[in-house]
Amino acid sequence: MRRLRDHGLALVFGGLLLMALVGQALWGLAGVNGDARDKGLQTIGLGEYLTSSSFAVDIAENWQSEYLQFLLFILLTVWFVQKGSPESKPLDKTGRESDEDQKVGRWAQPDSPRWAVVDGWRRSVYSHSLGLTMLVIFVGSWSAQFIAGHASHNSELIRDLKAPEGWGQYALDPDFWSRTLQNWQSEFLAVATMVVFSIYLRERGSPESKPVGEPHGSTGVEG
Amino acid sequence: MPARLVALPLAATLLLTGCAGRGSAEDDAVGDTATTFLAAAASAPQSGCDLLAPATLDQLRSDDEDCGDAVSAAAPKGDIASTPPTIQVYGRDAMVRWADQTLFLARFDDGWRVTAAGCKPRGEDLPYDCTIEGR
Repeated sequence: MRRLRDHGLALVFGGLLLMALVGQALWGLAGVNGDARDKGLQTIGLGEYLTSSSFAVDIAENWQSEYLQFLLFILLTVWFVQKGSPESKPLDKTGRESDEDQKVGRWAQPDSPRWAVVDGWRRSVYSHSLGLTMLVIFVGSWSAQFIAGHASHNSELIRDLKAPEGWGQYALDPDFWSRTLQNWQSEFLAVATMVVFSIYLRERGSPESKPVGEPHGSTGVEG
Repeated sequence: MPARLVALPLAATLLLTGCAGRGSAEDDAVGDTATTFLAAAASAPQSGCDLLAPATLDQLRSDDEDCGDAVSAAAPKGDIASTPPTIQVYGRDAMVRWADQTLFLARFDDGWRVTAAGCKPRGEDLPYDCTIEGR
């Protein structure tokens, strides 16, 4: 029971992810089968839909934008600050900070991660492991969106009695860029509003908010 | 590593979906149906009707067109046997092109069916102009 409580945040979001995926699969299947019936084509089952380019592109276009959002948030908050926001670090701490501040090498603590203690490439890699992981997932999911989107778009073109596109054509196609940018803009909006709203607004008990009584001008203070 | 945990399913997804419906076996099945349809159009048009998709047959009926006559009109002018067609398959949809003839097909549970035939390009980004097509 205590283990569940200690990992509750990850478990709850994992559960929400699964429920949302199930919902997306069922409603998405209903959508593609509705289109198929309208055109007098064969409807498909859930298994075929889950391995279809149509399902994959819808998943990947959202994943890539989420990981881009976190990648940019992680990197840009190294150098950019926002006065009064709990999402920002203190105004005088911009940059990569000192080894002492980052608790690496001889300033490491007894229970610091081992790669933070050792010198050389392992510490360099570990010092950027969060950003690198987000970058890898972003590039992977954006590539997945491109490949699955190409197949899905060409399937629709053929249904409309049009010639399918090559990779180069799809790289400039409105379908690829509207899927990409409609997700990017919403992520950038969400981050910008979170950074600014949290200067003036509070959620008691949330670490994403400043304490309720904390002045608006306090920066880098989390509840 | 979290990256590996996500990258592996992503790679599997790519293989399953980006390439779904592609490959030589599917290409062969599409090519066989298209070639059989055009051979029927030239010699036994009525049998070509069996290879049309249901919505395409419905359209011919609602237009009061005789199916055999419509299929016959889509017969190739030249010899299609000597030149292999360009076959493109994406999921359940396919296009087969010869020099002067293009067919569109869709996959049903009992195999590939012709959704449009006797098609010629009308210009970039425009739908093909077909003598037989569904709704």
